[in-house]
This record gives sequence, C-alpha cells and structure tokens, in this order.
Amino acid sequence: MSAFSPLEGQHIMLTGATGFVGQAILEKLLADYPTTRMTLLIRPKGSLTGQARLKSLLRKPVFSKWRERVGADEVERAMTERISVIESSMGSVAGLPADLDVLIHSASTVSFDPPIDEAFKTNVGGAVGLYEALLATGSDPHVVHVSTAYVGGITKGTVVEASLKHTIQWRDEMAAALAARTTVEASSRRPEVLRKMIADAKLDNGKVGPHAVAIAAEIGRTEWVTKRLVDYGRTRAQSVGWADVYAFTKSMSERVAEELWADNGHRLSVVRPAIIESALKHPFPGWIDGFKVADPLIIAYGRGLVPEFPGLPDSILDIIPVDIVVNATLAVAANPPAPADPKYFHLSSGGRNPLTFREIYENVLKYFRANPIPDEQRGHIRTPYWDFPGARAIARSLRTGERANKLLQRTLLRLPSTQTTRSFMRQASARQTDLELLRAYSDLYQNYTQAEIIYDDSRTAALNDTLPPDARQKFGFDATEIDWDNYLQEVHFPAVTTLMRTFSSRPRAKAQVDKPLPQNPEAAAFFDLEGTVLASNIVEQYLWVRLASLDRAKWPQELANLFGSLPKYLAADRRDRGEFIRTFYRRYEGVDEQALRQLIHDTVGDVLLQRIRPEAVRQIRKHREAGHRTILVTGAIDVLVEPFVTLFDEVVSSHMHSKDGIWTGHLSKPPLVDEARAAWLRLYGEREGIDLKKSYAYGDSIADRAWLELVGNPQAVNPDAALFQHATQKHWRIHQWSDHNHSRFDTVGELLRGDIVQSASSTPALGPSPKEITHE
Amino acid sequence: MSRPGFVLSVDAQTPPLVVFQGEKVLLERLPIDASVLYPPEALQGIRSLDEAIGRALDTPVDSEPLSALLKRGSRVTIVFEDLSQPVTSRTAPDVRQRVIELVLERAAAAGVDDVELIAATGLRRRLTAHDLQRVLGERVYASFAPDHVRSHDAEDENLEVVGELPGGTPIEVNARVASSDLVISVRLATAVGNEGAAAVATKLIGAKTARARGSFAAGTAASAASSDATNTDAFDDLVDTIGDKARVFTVDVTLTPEPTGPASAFLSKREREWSLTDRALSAGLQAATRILPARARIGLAQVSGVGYGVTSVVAGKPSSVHPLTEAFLAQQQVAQFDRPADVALFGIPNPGTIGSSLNPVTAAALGLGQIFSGATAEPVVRAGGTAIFYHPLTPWFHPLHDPAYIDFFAEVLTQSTDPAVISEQFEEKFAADPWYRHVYQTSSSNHALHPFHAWYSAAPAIAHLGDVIFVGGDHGSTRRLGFKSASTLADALEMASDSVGLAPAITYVHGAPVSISEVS
Repeated sequence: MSAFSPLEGQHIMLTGATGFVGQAILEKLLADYPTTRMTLLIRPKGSLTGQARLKSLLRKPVFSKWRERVGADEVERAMTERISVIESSMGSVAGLPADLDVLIHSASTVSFDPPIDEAFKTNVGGAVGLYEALLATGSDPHVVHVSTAYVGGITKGTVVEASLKHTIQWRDEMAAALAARTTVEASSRRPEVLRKMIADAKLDNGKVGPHAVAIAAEIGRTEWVTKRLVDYGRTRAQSVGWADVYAFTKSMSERVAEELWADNGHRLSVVRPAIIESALKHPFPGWIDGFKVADPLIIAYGRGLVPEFPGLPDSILDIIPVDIVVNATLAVAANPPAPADPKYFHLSSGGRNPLTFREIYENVLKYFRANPIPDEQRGHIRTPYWDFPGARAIARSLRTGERANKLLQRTLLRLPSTQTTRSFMRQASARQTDLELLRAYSDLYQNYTQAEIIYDDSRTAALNDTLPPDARQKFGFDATEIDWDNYLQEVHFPAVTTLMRTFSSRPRAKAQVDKPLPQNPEAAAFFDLEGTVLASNIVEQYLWVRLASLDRAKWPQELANLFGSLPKYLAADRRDRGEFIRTFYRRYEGVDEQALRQLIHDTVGDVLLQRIRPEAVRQIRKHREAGHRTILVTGAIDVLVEPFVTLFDEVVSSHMHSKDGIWTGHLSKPPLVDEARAAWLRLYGEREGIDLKKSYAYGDSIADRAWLELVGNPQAVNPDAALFQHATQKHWRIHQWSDHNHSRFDTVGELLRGDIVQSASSTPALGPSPKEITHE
Repeated sequence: MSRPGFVLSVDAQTPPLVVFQGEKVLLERLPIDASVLYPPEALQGIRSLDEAIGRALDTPVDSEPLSALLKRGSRVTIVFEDLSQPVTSRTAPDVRQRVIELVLERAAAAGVDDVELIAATGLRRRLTAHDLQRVLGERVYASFAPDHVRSHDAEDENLEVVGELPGGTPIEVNARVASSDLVISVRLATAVGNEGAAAVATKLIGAKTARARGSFAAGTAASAASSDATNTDAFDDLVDTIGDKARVFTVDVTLTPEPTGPASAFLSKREREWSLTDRALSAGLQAATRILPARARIGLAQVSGVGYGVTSVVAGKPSSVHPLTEAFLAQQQVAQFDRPADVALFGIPNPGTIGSSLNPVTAAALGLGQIFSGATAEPVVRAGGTAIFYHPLTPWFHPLHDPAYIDFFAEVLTQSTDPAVISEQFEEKFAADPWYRHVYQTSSSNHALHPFHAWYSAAPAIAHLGDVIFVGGDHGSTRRLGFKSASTLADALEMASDSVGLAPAITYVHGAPVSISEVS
C-alpha cells in the first residue's frame, strides 16, 4: 500500500449512486478510500426506502470483489458507519449535511430522447435543487459536476476543456420546456386532434366496441403528447446546436453549476466523460451494468439485424472504460480548483488514443465471426459485412423497407385469415421490430458515428501525470494505456454478449402440450359459435336454409340477390358487428318459424352439423369432464342453434321477433356481440358465482376481444388477422382447429342430389324471397 | 358353372396386375415367383330377377309360402340390410326394392295393413331419407315415409328383452320387431363370411347388448370358442323366432363378389386375358387417377363401380336358408393354396358408398378384419408373417357419419393401439357420451361404439401378423394406427425383409371381394 491517500478522512456526497457511474464511484470509494465517509442522495422507489435501496445496491455485481475481500461484517460496518443515506428526489432536496468536503453530482436521465419537460426536470431542475440546497447549508464543498463530452454540441474539429460558449439562457429554456407540457396537453385536446385519435382508434378497435375505442383513443392521445414532447425536445436541441435533448439539458445544467455554485465563490470542477463502457480492470475486467450507449448496436449487429449502418468509417467513436472515468473523477475531486474558477476535464479517448468506427466494426466482425450468437434450432447467426454506403443511401433503403412492410401489414389485415397469412403476419411483425430497432439505432447513433469531433483531454492527462508512479496502477486514468483490440475482444464484447445471453436465454417455448384442464366447479367455458365451434358464419347458415327450402330453379336468383347485397353487409360488418347482424337478419323477414324449425330438424341441421369442428367438440367435452360449466354465447338465432344445444350446459342466443308465428326480420333484443357480450358475461359471472379469472373463453374475431379479455384464459380459435395480432401480443393461447374436411362444394352437391333434403314435397316453404322485401 | 379360382405363379411374361389402392387402381408388376390367388370367376347374374324372387317367396325352404304366412290383421315388419351392403345397381332398381315390392304385393293381397319397414343398421348410422329412397325406391318410400319406415335405433328407450347373453346382459331388441307376428328379413351377401350371423336380430339389438356382445373380451372368448366349431351363440335361439311371438321369414340374396358394370368389368378379369378394349380402359383409368385430385377420384370410383349382379335368391326358415347361402358362397371361395406365405399382398378398394372415402380406421378394419381373413378359409400368411396392404389411409372423416371415429383417431389411438387398453380406458367414456348419442339419434352418425368394434375386428389379424405395411399410406395416420407406411411395393418388401428374409414367399390375393359388413 502506498502512502498516497487522497480524499483522506473527507466526507463525500454522491448523487446518482444507483446509476452506472455512481455505483462504480461508490465501489471505488468503499474499496480503495478506506477513510472516506459518504452520504448518498437516493430517491425512494415505490415502497423501497432509500436505505433499502442501498442495501440491495450493495448486493450488485460491482461490489462482489469488494464484498469477497472484506467479508460480510465489514460490509455491514461500512453500511452503517461509512455511508449515510438522504432520501430525496431531485429538485426537492432538504437537510444536506453541512460538513461536506466534496459533492459529486452524477445523477441524470438515462434516456437520450425523453420528453422535453422530463429532461429539463431531471437534468436541469435536479441540479438547481441540489445546488440551491447546498447553498442553503452555507458550507463550501468542492463540487464535481459530472456532465458529458457531448455538451460540445454538433461541431467539427477539436473541442477544448473549457466553459461552453453559447448564449442560451437555461432559465428561459427551462420555463419553455415546462410550459411545453401544458401547451401540448391543451393542444392534444383540440377536437381536430381528438377526432383523429377516435378515427385511428376505430380503425383498430371499432369491432371490439365503443368502450374499447374510447380507451384506445385516450391511450393514443397520451402517446401523441409524449411523442410531441420528445419532438419538442429534439428539435429545440438541434435548433441551438446540440444533437439531442440529453446533451442540450446537460449543457444547461453545466451553466446551472457555474452560475449557482462557481459564481457564488465556490470551487467547481466539471468532468465530461464520452461514451462510458465496461471496466478495463476495476472492479474486474468487463464489469458493466446493463447495456450502455454502444452495446445495443453491438448486440444487434451480432444478431445479424444491422445489414448496413450510417456511420463514417473514419469517424471516431469516443469510448472510455468506466474505471478510468471513476479514477479521473475522484482525482478531480481530490484536486479542487480555486474558488470561482471552475475547471473542466474531458474523460475521453479520442484525443490521444482514437478508435475509429471502422476499427470497431472490424473488431465486432472478428468477434462475432469467432463467437457467433447461436440461433435457436438454426445453428449460428452469420453477421453481415458493412460497406458504409453513406447515411443517405441507408436512410433511403430504410424508408423503403418501412413503407413496404407497413403496406404488407395493412394488406394482410384485410385479407382473410389463413395459416399462410398468419405466418406472413408473424414475419411482417418480426420484420417491423427489426426495422424499428434499426430506425432507432440509426437515429440515435447518427450523431455519434458521424461525429468529426475530437475531445481534447490534455488537462485530464496532466492531472494523471501528477499521480505518483506507484499509485498509477490503482488510481491512474490514462486513456492511452488502452489496447483497443484487446479491450474490445477480451473485455468488452464478452461482457455485453454474456449480459445479452442472461437476458435472452429464456428456455425455449416447448410445443404446447395439452394438459388436462384443472378441475374447478366454479369455472366456466364460454364459446362463440360462428367461426369458433362452427366453421361457418351467419351468412352461410342463411344460405343453407334458403337453398334447402328453395326450388333448385330459383337458386341462381337467390344467390345473385345475396351476392348483390354482400358489399352492404361487409361494410356493416367492418363498422360494427351488431349493425351487421341487424342488417342481415332483415333477410329472415316473413319466415314462418314453425316451418323453419321443421326444416332445421329435417335437413339443415345436418348441413350445420357438418360444419362443426371436431376439436371444438373435444374441447367442450374436456371442459365438462373438468367440471366446468360450458356455455354457448352467440348472436345467431335460437332456432338455428338448436342442433348444437346438447353440446353445452347452457345456450344464450338471439331471438327473432315474430308476429303470429311469422318473423318480422327484427331481433327481439339487441344481439349479444362484442361489448354487449362482455357486459353480459360480467353480470353472468356475478349472478352465477362463476370465477371468471379461472374461466375460459373461445372466440375467433377481433369483435370477441372485449369479452375474451374478461376471463383468465382467453383462447383464440382460428383468429382473424386482427385478433391474431392481439393474441400474439398478449400471449393468448391460439388454437388452429381444422376447418372442415367436408367442403362446401360437397354440401352444395348433396343438396343438389337431394342427399340431405328430405323430399321436395315435404319441405316447407320459407316465406317470400327477400327480393320482394325492400331493404334500407 | 363358372371357372374355378386358380393360383398363378408370376414369371417374366406376367403382365402388371390390377391392385386397388383406395380410390386408385394401380397396375403393379410383382416379383418373379410370387403367387397370385385368383378367385373363381363370377357366376352369371340372374336374368329375370322378379321371377327368381317370386319363385323363392312361393316355394321357400322349410316354410309355408310367404302368402300363407301373411294373414289379415297380423303385424308385419320388413327388415332390410342397410347401406353397409352395396347398392346393387345404379340404373335399375336395387334388388332390395324388388324383393320388398313383391313382398308388399303379397301382403296387400292378404289384407295385411300393419306393415313397417326397418333398416337393420345395428350400430351403424341412421339412413337418411335419400339413402332410404335409393334402397327402397321412390314408390315404396313415399307410401311408408315418414312414420312407417325408419332405421333401427340402438339407443331407443323402448327395447324388448328377448334373452340373455352368457355374461348375464339381457338381449334387448327393437320393440317393433319383437312385437311383430311376422318379421321378413331381406338380406344381401357378397362373399364368404360376409353373410354374418344367422340371426338377423344381431343387427336389431340395443347398444348395451351390442356393447356386451362386441366387447374385446367377448371377441377373444368367441374366437377361442369358434375354433372347436361348437360356437354356442346366445343368438342361436333368435334365428327363427325373435322373442315369444315374432317368426322370421328370410329372403337371402347373394351377389357377385365384385361390381360387374360395363366400364370396370375388366378389373375383375384375369390380366392375361384382357382384350384391347380392356387395355385401353385400363390406360384411361390409370391416367385419370393420376391427374385427378383425390376428391374427384372418389367420384370416379363411384361412377365406374357400377352394380353387383345377383347370383341367387333363397327364402324360407332362416336356420335352413343360412347354411344354403353359406354353401353357395363357398363356391366362390378363392382357390386352394399349398402353404401359408411369408408375405401377403392385398388391395383395399374404396367401396362405392356415398360421397366419401374410407376413413383410416375403417380402412384398416376392412383390410385386417375382413379382407385378410375373409377371402380364404385359412390365413394366407403364416403366423408372424407380413401383410402388405394398398390404401392411402388419408385422415379424412365424414363430418356427419364419423364424429366418434374422428375422436377415436385423435384421442384414443394417440394413447394406445392395444384393443385391451382401449376397451378398458375409453369404451365406457364414448358409450356414455351424450353428444355421440345425440348425433347418432338425430343426425346420421355411426354409434360411438362403432369405431371400437371396428378396431377389435382387426385385432386377431394384427396379433397373427408380425408386420403390417401400407403401400401409399399417409405417414402420420399409418403410424398412428401402429403400422408402417411404404411408398412402393419394393420399399415395403425391403422393410419386411427384416422379419421374413430377403426371399420370402409372396402371395397376392387378387381382387379381394369387399363390402363393409357389420363389424360388430
């Protein structure tokens, strides 16, 4: 142990101790500064108090070496004697200790693109609150303000370690940022905007029901507000010369530190690290806490998701290992400048040990060629070669890709749902995820990978030179010492890929095995009829009824009539299920109920039975065996449902209004579809003592979403495109039940041959043909 | 008298031979030295059928003439075979219609007005109105429908007890039949063993009785018993009378073993003797089955599979007529063969029933339960040998007829193919299921027990054989049934070589006669 002991016996306060750099500083202080006391400013999170957060913080991997070395007792002692916690959130800081020697302010937002008000509240408001509270204590600690190298803004050439040159007033910007929220919130409530929200919500949720539309519209509005505020932030930042709102607010907060602290005659140092990445040596090589700036890109590349990238091969990606940042920050802390004369330090590698984007790319390529990421069941992923075609070309191809994919998805949503379209949809949505990722990366990294800036770090280098040679091993922070190839290949890439594997190495979903359903007399299974239990719909039902009762000579006429009205029905169905049912059932006007019953009993019942899905019958049987109550809920007419009644414990269907035994074409009650069915289900569950959370529901269409959501086990059966999308997102069970092994042509053939029809003479007529009924 | 069957030994000059494979017809070249068992050539059909029927009714065996049995005021029930028997003609009236019309004429003349028609369906599906019209003709159907013609309902609540099975289960039969004064049974038979039990009552029993009689345990017991030729069936007492009252008068009609329509007659001819026309037709059929999609092929088979010829009509006391019919059919038996082969080949055609192909379970039962043991008196394969069948075993099920089969295939056979396990674990569940009962009674579905009995009927053959291979069998469903599938005969023989060696004795049973008989 050398005699070199900086910060001896001093009291250091640290903000942002739970962050990446904060943790590392805390660890270094605990491990190598034995006499230093620490006060941490920790924000309580949910029910966790600051103290509790500290306790869980100390269990993190960064402290593992230290804990191992000193033992549990010492950890306990350090926690009680060396560290004290002040609970507080940024902006409202009270009761700071008056005996501070150093304050290291390293708290900031983690996001690059937060809404403008949030960015200002945290990065600027936090600093204001902290420094005002510090002023209020009347003490005179040395403040080390952790900023970022990117406060240098969008520029070219070398940036020196000095105060930023600009005339932007942080107070004005802060006020504008906070006002932006109010403005945007207000403007989001304008009828024009809301109308668009409703229209968009209707597009996706119209068939689910009005309540779902309202919810979706409100979610849409909040999202719109956030997006606007992000846009406010980014655009404002760019308009005054910063890449993003993060760099913008960080530079504003430097001004806060200068104005509130240095200008009031106190000592201030500002450290500006570049892109902080995994540790070179301390606490152990490769230590990193979650993915940092460059890492998602590295991983995405390794997974073969980034075919090209808008970077300049000769631009410098300024990476600096976290332990160098920690050592430099603490060295700065130990060497306070004169009061009212703030000093600035760049913690960067670009000045004296530059790493170009091309070198990184070559290293990444080499690393992933040697250690490819396994692709489940398909060997390993092959990483692409880049040839840096330039930002423009890439932006263009990205845009084309996005458009094509969007178009594909739209088209797929309109096509009838089949196994093929569903597999296309799965591919399209995977592709969309990839494209979104690519878009996010290319937006985010543009500014880093195209930067032609060099951060001069001569002051930092000079500070390092003041260290006694024997202390450099432990406390040194010389960026020229980094051997990039070695660091990337042996330290950093293994660290981030290990991290990635722990995140994503979930056990592979096994092929779903049918487990026996749990016994539960309080559970129920709700089934939709058309498209779920039956591979058929109400139009088809009608058609069979009609064809079976009509003289064959009249078939063409009837079919022409039905097909002619089809556009009307389709349009109604797209708007609302209930509307469609009402419109369509008008066709039954004039039907003699008794005659129809007879017809169903004699012939049409069999036609409908042919469309039943055997898997549905088996599933219903399984539910019955498990003691569940089985209930059929359908918008179809009771008479047409009769052949299936014995399958279920209970059947809830529509009833046609009739006058003297003749149907009027109106329903006697509103049909139980979409949200009406959801309301019914809720009421039913309550009245009958059904445990909906333990119950099952089977539906096939997006119109079923509202009531499927109510039960604990929603199941999508041969879902339409929209429900498929929803079910995939929500991890609902998706069943693919066989459609029919008896084709409709066979049925028509049988009707033609008369296999099914009892006999022409005994078939009751079905009232007048709808052509004689005027619709609309 | 027709030419007797013979055994052909395949040599270099032997032309490719006709093999049925579901709805397809193949021409296969068999390995040299394979034996081909040709059945005896079909007898000439009876030309003046009405006359033959009339003669049989008026001069019955061991019975007074039918007209003497029909008395004013008596209760008469005519039971007839269901669609498990082929329709005898597409153009002319079905032979059942002709028999029944003549019977009805005599009944009318005798002043009998309480007559009902019942299809002896056993556990098979109800006949639809259309089926009934095809079998009975429009005239008969129109005068009895809808109240006096129907199918037997094994789940009927009003059944009558007329005896007891060895296990103590009561024998319940159709109440109308048991309460009749005279039961006139119209029966068809195509080939050896297909005529079924002597007692028509076996096809008119309730489900409980059928279950006890057809259970797997009962089946194995019966096969053990039948080996000593003293098969004391509880139904022996029900052959000539059913219950205390109903006297049975039977009309047995035998049919040619294969359809003899003009278009496909060449299929049952011996290939060596094909005429130029036959060859052209064969080439056409080959081409058609190659090009057409499976669904259309089914239609083709129906069009080409035109009627069966009637070879004899015998009427009278069932216990006397039954042996005569069996003896007559025995003449059609396949030629003698010297010794059981190592490998036997069988084609399984799709019988021309309405609008559907055979489902895989039925096809397997047909092949193993009937064709395998039905064509010859003794199994053509030695114990532990291999049977190679030609059938696609496509997993198609008729949505109305086969709901129990669909579930049997999907839920039972995936668990086990062992009949003992199946009968113990699943039979009760299926038998008690209300949905199967509902569709059996109200729609036209086979009874829930039907697939079980079909599967049990295949069990003796499976036990006898070492390997069962299906040429052209759908891979998934062949596996599920516990068999192996091969794409060609050569592959199948290669697969069989493990158990029967590289030079097995091969026997092809040519054009095995087929009808879907009652499997229970």
